[in-house]
Amino acid sequence: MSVNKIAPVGQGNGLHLVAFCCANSSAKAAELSKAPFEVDRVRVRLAQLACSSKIEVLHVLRALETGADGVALWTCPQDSCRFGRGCIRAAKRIERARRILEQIAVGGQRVFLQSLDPNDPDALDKALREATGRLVELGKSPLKTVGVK
Amino acid sequence: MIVAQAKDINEIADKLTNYEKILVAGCATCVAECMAGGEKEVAITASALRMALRLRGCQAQVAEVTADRQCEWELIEEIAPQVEAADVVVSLACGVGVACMWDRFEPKPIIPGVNTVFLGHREKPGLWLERCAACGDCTIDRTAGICPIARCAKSLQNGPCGGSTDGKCEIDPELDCAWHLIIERLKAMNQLDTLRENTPPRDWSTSRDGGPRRVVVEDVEE
Repeated sequence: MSVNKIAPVGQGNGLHLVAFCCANSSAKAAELSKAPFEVDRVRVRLAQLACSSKIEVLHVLRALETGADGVALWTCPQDSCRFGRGCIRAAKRIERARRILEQIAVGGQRVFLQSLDPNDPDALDKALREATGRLVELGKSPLKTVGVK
Repeated sequence: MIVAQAKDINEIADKLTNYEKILVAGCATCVAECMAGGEKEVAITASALRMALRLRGCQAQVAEVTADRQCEWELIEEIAPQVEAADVVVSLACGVGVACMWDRFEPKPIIPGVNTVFLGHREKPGLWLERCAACGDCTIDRTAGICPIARCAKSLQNGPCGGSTDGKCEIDPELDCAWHLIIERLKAMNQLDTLRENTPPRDWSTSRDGGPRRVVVEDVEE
């Protein structure tokens, strides 16, 4: 899959992925963060971070609370993090967010964490496809399917 | 400072299912420092509660506020409008803050959102350690600044107990033996002889054994 095959937002399948990408890990992140788009009919909103460690637990929770079905964070590999320990810190925050989501039965598996190979120009495309594929398997967030008293 | 730890979200959510207007109230002092109850934790807790309650089929509004302190009447008063507007408050303050909130806003239910754990300090990012047991009779100078009441598992006044191995406590191999640390520090100060003097049994009435304690500063008391 290449960036060219990423579609503009259409009907979609009702699944939403909010993705965060370290600005240093993919040159394509800047282009893709301009507007929402679709991959495999999953609507994706991508935001660049100056470093993956800028991710906060709250970013993940709020995304799911306000309608996302999944959240992805793409970091640099540990040995090429420009800020040394950025991706390690990011992983710890993602782990905490997953723990909270497990506690409340939304499911920690809806949060994807992956490092992008800096030598692979298609790394972001592959990660996008993997995340959207996993999200299609998981289906809609339980927050969207629950009835309210 | 007072160190606290977040409770499981479900433990809190289970108590909130019959309320419509919920306020998560943080405290910007000790519990903010130990990352259990400051503004950031209020936002995380509120978001998690909104999701947890939605999954329980509850349609509740969860608002957020953070007081500078929940243990000072003047500062509690600053968040009074938000508290008054809520049916129930989840306080992320320490137990002192929760108790003060009850005193001020009775009969409004104030539910603790954190567990108050100990008096301690931040050893390094992400790690807080107990350093004081608030026993009411501080003699920490005798033990070179290492409190055996707070840091020895047996609170021994004349240690060590003989159960330590390689400087670690027998109850936890990751826990430093307080008396090992005391001896090493006094040795480095060339003051090991001070331990020849036996410390007499302690009067625990200054601690919890004497019941709830109070401090009066007469020249400012009104």
